[in-house]
Amino acid sequence: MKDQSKLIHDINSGLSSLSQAIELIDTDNTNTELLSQITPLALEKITQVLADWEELKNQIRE
Amino acid sequence: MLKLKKQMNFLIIEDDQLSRLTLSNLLKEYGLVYEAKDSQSAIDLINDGQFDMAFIDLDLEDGDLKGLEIISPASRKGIYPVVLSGREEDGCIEEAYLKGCQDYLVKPFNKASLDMVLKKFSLIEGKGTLRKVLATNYITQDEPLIKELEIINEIVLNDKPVLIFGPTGTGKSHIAKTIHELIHGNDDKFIALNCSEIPENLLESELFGYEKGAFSGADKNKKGKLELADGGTLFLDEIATMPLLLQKKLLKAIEEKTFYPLGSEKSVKSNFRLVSATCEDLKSLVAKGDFREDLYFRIEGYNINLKSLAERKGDIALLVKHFLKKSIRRVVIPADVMNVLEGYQWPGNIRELRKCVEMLQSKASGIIGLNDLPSNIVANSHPCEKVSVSTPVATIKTNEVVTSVSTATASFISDQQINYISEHGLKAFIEKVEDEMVDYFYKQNSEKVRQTLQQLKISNSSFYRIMDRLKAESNGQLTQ
Repeated sequence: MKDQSKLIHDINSGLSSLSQAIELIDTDNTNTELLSQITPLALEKITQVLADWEELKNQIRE
Repeated sequence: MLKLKKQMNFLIIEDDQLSRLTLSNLLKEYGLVYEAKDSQSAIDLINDGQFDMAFIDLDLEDGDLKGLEIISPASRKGIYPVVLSGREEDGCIEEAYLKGCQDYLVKPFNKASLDMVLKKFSLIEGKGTLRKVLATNYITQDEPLIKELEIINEIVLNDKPVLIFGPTGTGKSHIAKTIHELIHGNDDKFIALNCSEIPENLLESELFGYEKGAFSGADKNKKGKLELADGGTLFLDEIATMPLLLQKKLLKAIEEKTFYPLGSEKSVKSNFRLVSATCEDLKSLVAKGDFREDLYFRIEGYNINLKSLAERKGDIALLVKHFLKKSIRRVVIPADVMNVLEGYQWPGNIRELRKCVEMLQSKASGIIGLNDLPSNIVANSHPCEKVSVSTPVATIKTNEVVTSVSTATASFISDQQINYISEHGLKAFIEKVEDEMVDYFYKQNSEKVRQTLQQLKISNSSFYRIMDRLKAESNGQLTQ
């Protein structure tokens, strides 16, 4: 189980990563190859961020 | 897309695959991209490869803050390290800079911040270029002035205003143009306006432009300098001469980056870098109320002070050589003529010197004599410190030059000589030594020139230059 500061750091890092990826897709939205590479990684990252967020929420509630 | 001078080699050290992919895609436009997920593989790549820039995440696969261990090895190999991290703690940032990081960017970064870093790298990497640019564009060997001009390295990295001080003819507009060309690569959108050359009543329309019919004579729309400089540089020379009312309008345009051309109800936007120049003491003009204080603080940012030629006489010979080379027809300027040129104060500075050299190049004779020089230069030149006959310290005996040892410095220069130098300058001392040695050995050799030259190991031209000086001094003494 990660401690709170690590969770916050990882969530922040994950959101940054997603934000950069979306900005890149937005500026180069005709590049299907890029889209096919980024999409699965972005989905994986979203899953990770959501999981970290859940864990953080539980820790705060406790 | 930012234009870089060459194809680059980048190293991305980042454990998150999505971030690596994003950054790699952005950097691929500029060169080859290599990747590492942990500190050890990063260091192996650094040791084996040649990279221009490294983008380093601090938290890696092999541990938090492992990225810090990569900065120093990268820096030692001449790689430009940039940290890209989500960490914003002052301790981390400080440690990264202490280890040699050049830029610390906080995630998420965007293309604009990446472009800024790449631009900075390309300009800083070309630092040697700045010296070369200055060596060909602004001739000087004066080290303090060169140090002053090195501020251009910082100027080109942002869009802060620049204020250039210097007497007339010292190259203020030249420096402004050089700054623009270093940033933009050409002189497009370098818009210059000399505020003292335009009548006051026309200055406003020149600067802000006008609509057709705005005033009598305005038969068509005209864009002003402010609008023409959009995306480039607006150079306002002799800004101190701008009328106070116009200063107020200019201040508003600088602050808001919008203005209204004369007779227009539609505002115009313009984003320009302002470079101003003056030969006047702006602070005292502000104190007198002749220049707005708020405008003064707006136009000064990076200040460059250009010296007069009189304050850097060592540059005169360099500049003469530089101007002589511009013409296909070559002429020779002997040492005695150069001496006079170096002894003149050049109130018009480089501009005056250039005009003088151009005039000399058009002389019929290819060897320039003293009588070819403008009379005002000859009359007002002080080639060396004239040593007064009445000054006892001027006399240095031959045996003192060779045999005396200074108690203060333990060198073969005596205390008396050191006093002479501190009073009259090194140049005057050297000339005095030359005069006395040539005189002494010439007489010792019964006025035989060849023997004298052999003993002194000087050239024919040097010998006659010194003899001319001795003659001139003895003629001067006779007329006193």
